[in-house]
Amino acid sequence: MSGATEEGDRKKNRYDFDRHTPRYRHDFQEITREIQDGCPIAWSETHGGHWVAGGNREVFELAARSAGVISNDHDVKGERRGYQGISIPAPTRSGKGGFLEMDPPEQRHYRQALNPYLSPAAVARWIPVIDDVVRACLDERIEEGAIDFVEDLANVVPAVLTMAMMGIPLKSWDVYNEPAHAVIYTPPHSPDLARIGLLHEEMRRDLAGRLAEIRANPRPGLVDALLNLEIDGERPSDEDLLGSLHLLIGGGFDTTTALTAHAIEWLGGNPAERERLSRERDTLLDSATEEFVRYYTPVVGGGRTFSADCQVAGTRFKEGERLWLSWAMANRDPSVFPDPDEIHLDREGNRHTGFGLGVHRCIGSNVARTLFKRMLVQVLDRMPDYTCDPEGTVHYETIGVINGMRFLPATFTPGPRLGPGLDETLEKLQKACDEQGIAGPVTRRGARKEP
Amino acid sequence: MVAPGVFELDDVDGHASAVEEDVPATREAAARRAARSCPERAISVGGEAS
Repeated sequence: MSGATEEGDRKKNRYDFDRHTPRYRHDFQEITREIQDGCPIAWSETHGGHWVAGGNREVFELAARSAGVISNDHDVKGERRGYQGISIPAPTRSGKGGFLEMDPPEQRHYRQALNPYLSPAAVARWIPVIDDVVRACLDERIEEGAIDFVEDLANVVPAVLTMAMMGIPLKSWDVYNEPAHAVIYTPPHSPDLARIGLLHEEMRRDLAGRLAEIRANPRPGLVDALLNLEIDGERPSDEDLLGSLHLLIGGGFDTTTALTAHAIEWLGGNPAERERLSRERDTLLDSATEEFVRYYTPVVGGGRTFSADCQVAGTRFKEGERLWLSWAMANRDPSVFPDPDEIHLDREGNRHTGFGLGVHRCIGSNVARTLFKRMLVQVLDRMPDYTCDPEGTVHYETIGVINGMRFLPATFTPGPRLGPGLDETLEKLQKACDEQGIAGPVTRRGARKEP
Repeated sequence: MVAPGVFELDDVDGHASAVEEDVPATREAAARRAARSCPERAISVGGEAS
């Protein structure tokens, strides 16, 4: 076989795939069906040429069973093989995206350092704090009978908790809030880009300042955990530490916002299901949470680079080729999920890929689930009859990175406040965090439960 | 958790492990549900692959 024919054969399943276009959002179901029925691993010439895996089995084989031939490395200084990390196309400016753009064993050291802050037991300690922030957010709007679920709730609570877990003052959430979301939703041609760039610079400066401050005066939290990290006797560079801190902010902010806003929007449009979820929350809330993660898949996928020639799931790949693993499409595969384009709050056997798969699986999944559930139940309890306003609802124009929302205004029957507003609540909670050291790691293993 | 009686989560790293190797008959259905739900397909029951 000649070289050209072999190439054509390897890349015989072709699809013009560009997830950065509005069409990808509008025609997502149709594109998913076409790729799954016709490919389900496709070669696309877009963005310099890359593979797209869209079937559940193929995504699983590549993401969870091919660690030896797949790399997340972002070789920003050209010291290794020049791989471009997890974004397709590679971002024009910005460094390595923390431990998400590293391979094991280096990456594993970061995960092991952070796990004791993010395990279910560690996250459970934060529930009273989360509940009070949610309460304050709702109190700010409860007497008015009108709220924007994105701006007034789903942006605020994940941001405040991320600050708290990192060991950064809670009130700083506001410095990070707009840039963290805007950097995702602002398209490259936007006239607003210069302003967002400035906000992003301010955030970078603030974060570098926090790193220096906590290094000088240690304070428990995720920043401290990274400062104490040693890999083979060496401290990571500040560049790598800051990359990882930005990763924690990126992972902690926009994703949970996207999940919560979409779920609230859907429940607003399906009031019978909303009532059922509220009534049967003890048995339904867990499965409903996983179902919303599956259906909305806030992080739509991840880029990888093949680190060796290989054959996986029937396709031959070459070293250096780029791959897009579509968590979003894998989550709509009818061979794994009956009625994949419908939401079943009680779905069983929900093997979704919404938190990714394999060694880079979302390290904050327990935080996301807990935040989502605590926000949702208070909304169901205090604003049970809310009606969303479709006119004012704004989804991200393109969802190539995060399937997010900017605005979700709603009205509801007003109710009484239960406590102080957000600023006063954050001051009070700051004291509690400082005094109780909740941001520290869980270091002791609990007693084994009796079976 | 799909099957809290069958698995326990480590407080420090959050990793799940089986409470005991032999699943009692009363918990067998829960164990199979967990295997069907595990996204990483890390659970197998009775030698049955996933």
